Amino acid sequence: MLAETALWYGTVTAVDSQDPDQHLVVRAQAGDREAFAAIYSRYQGPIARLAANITRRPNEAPDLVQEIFTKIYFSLDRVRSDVPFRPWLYRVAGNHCLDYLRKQKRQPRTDSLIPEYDDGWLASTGPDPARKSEARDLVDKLFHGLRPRDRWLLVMKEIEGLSLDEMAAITGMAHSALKVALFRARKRMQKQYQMLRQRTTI
Amino acid sequence: MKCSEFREQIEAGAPTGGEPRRHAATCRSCAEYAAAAGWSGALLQAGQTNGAGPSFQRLWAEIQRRNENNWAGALSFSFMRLVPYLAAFSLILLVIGTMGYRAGRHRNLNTVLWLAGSSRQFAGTIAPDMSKQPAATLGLYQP
Ligand SMILES: [Zn+2]
Repeated sequence: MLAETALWYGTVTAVDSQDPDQHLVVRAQAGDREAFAAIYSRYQGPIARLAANITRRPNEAPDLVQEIFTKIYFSLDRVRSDVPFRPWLYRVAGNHCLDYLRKQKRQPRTDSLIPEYDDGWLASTGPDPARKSEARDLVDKLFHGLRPRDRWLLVMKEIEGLSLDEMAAITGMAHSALKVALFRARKRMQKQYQMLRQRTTI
Repeated sequence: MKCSEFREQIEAGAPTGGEPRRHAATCRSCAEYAAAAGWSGALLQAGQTNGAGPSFQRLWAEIQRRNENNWAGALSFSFMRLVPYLAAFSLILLVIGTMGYRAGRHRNLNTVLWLAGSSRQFAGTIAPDMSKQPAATLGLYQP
């Protein structure tokens, strides 16, 4: 069942009226601390991962998550029972991270050696912590040159593994627009990689 | 197979079967789409980072703190909204008080004049013309 419903941060598409979070949300709206604790327990992990990956600042994740869930708590009365809670939560979290990025002054980038990234290198990043750290460092550098919205879309798709339906519910974008936006974000990231490689190999 | 279908399948995971493969072999833009998706998916999976939220106790304490601040803020906001009304009310009180004081003074003056029997013309006057000199008011000064 699809229905367009206006919400606090815009439009969220209701994809399923059987929302597993709804009973917790209703109890939390009535001031039930335990219900809000259950919501937090269910979503703090994914939201912390989302925030850490969009901002690429894992050390700031606790503060970001606290701000996001505080915002969620004080906005609970705006959550409607016919709209799924999860996309709304992801939208609030994503918008908060984008605001955070926009407020940050651009940090100077350190152009250390960029690894030659190919399928073989990726395959070897799994078990080796040094390689894992190298991959994280590379993504940090690539994200540095990306727009906040590109980061958000890429993290939702590639790291959180959300479906296009879920992303459409979160962003309010149509599938076709999402595919175009994802393609452009990926191409921009590839371009960033090529620029960094050129800069560090000359 | 349409390009949009092929790309939906790419976003849903690696497409299987001969049809997507045939499409990618003949459609250059979809081949590029699939390559970019594979590239960024593998890289971001490898380079993802983890974060953790605070304890629920810390979060709840922050919520309580803001709740109290919101109440204090709401109260001070309400008070601030009352300030113009309070100012206007104070001004009205001041005006009434001043008028009462003046009227009281004039009544006292009239009483004194009546008692002195200096002039009948002031006996019924509550508010004499204060622009006149006191002597003129008392009928003692003739210009
Ligand atoms: Zn195509």
